[in-house]
Amino acid sequence: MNNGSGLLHIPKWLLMLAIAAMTVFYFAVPPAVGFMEPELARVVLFHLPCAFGCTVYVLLAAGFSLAYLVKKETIWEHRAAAASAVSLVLAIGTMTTGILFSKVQWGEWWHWDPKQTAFLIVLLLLAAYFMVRMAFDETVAKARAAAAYSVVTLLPVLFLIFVFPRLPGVSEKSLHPQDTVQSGKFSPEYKAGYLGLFALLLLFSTWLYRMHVKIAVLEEKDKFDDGNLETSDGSTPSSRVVRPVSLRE
Amino acid sequence: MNSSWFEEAVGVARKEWTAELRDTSALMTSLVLSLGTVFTLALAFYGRRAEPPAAAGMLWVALLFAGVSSLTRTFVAEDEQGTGDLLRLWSRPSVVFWGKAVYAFALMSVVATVVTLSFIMFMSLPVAVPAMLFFSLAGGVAALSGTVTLTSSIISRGANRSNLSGVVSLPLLLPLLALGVAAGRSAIEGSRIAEGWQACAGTWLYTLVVFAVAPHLFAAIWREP
Repeated sequence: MNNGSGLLHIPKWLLMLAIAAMTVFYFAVPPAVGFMEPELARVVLFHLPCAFGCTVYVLLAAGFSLAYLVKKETIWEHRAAAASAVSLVLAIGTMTTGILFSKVQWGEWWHWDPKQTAFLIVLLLLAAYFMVRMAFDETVAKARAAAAYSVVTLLPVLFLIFVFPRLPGVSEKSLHPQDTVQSGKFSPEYKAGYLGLFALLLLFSTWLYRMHVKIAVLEEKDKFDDGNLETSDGSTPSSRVVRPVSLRE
Repeated sequence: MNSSWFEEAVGVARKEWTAELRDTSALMTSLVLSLGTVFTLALAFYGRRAEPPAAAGMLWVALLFAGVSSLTRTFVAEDEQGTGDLLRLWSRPSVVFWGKAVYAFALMSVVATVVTLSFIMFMSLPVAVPAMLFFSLAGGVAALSGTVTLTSSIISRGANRSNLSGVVSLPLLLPLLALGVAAGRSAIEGSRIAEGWQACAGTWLYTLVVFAVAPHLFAAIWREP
């Protein structure tokens, strides 16, 4: 469909330009002092926004799922599925950058650090949500099961992200710093870096999320249209209709 | 039908228990699987004593797999036998959930008792604070029953349910496992008692939240559209 105006693409171009500018800034940030590999400490600038973004989308997915269970409107199910998909991508980004950081700064790929372990379980919960969706063919049953599972995962996710790493006896064992973000211990360049990337990541992920919802709505419309044997002008549709044929000559 | 909510819930639990006593499939599956795990672990540790954190972890893993493998059949069996629709007509969703959860708790209590006693006996494991172990296991079994009852209802209409049950339930139960292992470790070695009781309280808090949320979610998915 031609929307008739190139002006609508301007925000996308601006977003891409901002991402390019942020990438340049990413390399302009000075190496962090006090790390084993100061040059590679810049991974934090991508790791933190991914983790924040993932948390935002997990909470949104649970909220949309609850809205679906209450209102029974399919659009909420599409929104929940899209938010879960984006959060899964961001969770994979968080894990990948975290594992890289762990190797270069702490010496091992995996440390059984409480935050690492907690996020791995969050990743498993997100993957399980998609396993539930894949197990159903019927649309309404799939939507209900997935929505219920998304809501029920909220409790362990909140516990794992916000409570478990801060428990006494657990927090002391973590290699992750506990209050660097809250107490503003980042240098101004790093603070600008992770906040800027977080803002861009939110914009970019919102774009992905909206596309995901649009595709789901179009697929649903397409499925609905296939069920009709007559089009609006009274003729029969030209595609996807199985016509009976005689086997006798 | 003038029966009260409580009578109906007890009726559902009694129906489940009667059906279980008829073929004892869930009970036997749980017991054989968990006792098999215990015997294998005892053989692996032959002549040696397991460290308290490892012992607590192994006990919980045995219980978790027993629970997940048997309790997920709760709703699947209703759909396979064609009794699900009758239950939908006859009972309120909250009654069905509580009845099934009470049955699951009773079943897992039997399994947990047998498995824990066998584990302590075969692993020659001294327990310094038995009360802590008892309360943490009771809280954990209650949370396990509620969680698996809910996940069983979620996947009961899905394909490939037997594989899916583990995938769906285990990530939800991992925080509970962490709390149970922390309490079990303190109970077995008799150190860090305050932390152990905190973890024990955590298992009961988990139970409380599961039973506060699960009946409402169950009501949303149990009724046919």
